Amino acid sequence: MKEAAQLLNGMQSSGVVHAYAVFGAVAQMRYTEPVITLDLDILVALPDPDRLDLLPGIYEFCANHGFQTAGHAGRVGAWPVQFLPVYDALTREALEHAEICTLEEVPIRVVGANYLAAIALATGRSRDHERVLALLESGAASRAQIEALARRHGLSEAWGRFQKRLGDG
Amino acid sequence: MDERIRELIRRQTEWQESRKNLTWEEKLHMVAQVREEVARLLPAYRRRAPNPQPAQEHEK
Repeated sequence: MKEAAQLLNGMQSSGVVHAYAVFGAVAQMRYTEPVITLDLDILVALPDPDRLDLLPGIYEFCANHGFQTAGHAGRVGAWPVQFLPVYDALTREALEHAEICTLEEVPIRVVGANYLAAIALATGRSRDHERVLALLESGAASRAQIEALARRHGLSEAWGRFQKRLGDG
Repeated sequence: MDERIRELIRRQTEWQESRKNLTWEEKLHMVAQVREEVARLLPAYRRRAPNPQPAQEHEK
């Protein structure tokens, strides 16, 4: 994971991406017990988001640093890495508000708990609802904060569905 | 509830709680190891597992 953090920081400092942040299950595990995941998911802001072909700069950077890419993922050490450009106001805001943590003494940007929960809410599959619940139960995310994010990003119905299905209140 | 079951659940809960107390690095290391182990076992599992039949075959 140290290699991944170094690679991502390199991408940002060399301008291949404007910003990056880890999200998904790997980010969730900062707060909850371990969950099995295949991939390290990375949210990125690209310098030229209007390009038709979004990720070749990233893959080229990976290859130039000795990492394989195959299909829609690169492989860095033990982790297949998937990059996803920010795709709406919520993911853009989550990236802007990413927290800086350290992994094996290397800084790495990670999406915070409330944004992770809101993104999961927007995705809306059963396992995403489980993520929201796990983040709430860990105490890292708060109902009030998620609700506020949901309201601002048109997710009030999704939040209502979650509350009805899994929420306590 | 049987006292042995109660004790088992207590120990399992304790184990689950202890995993929450791992550092982020430790959790990621654990998950990477599990994933690598599954990948390592997959070829042997595939050799042993019977070929799955299409669902409609079972329904006949």
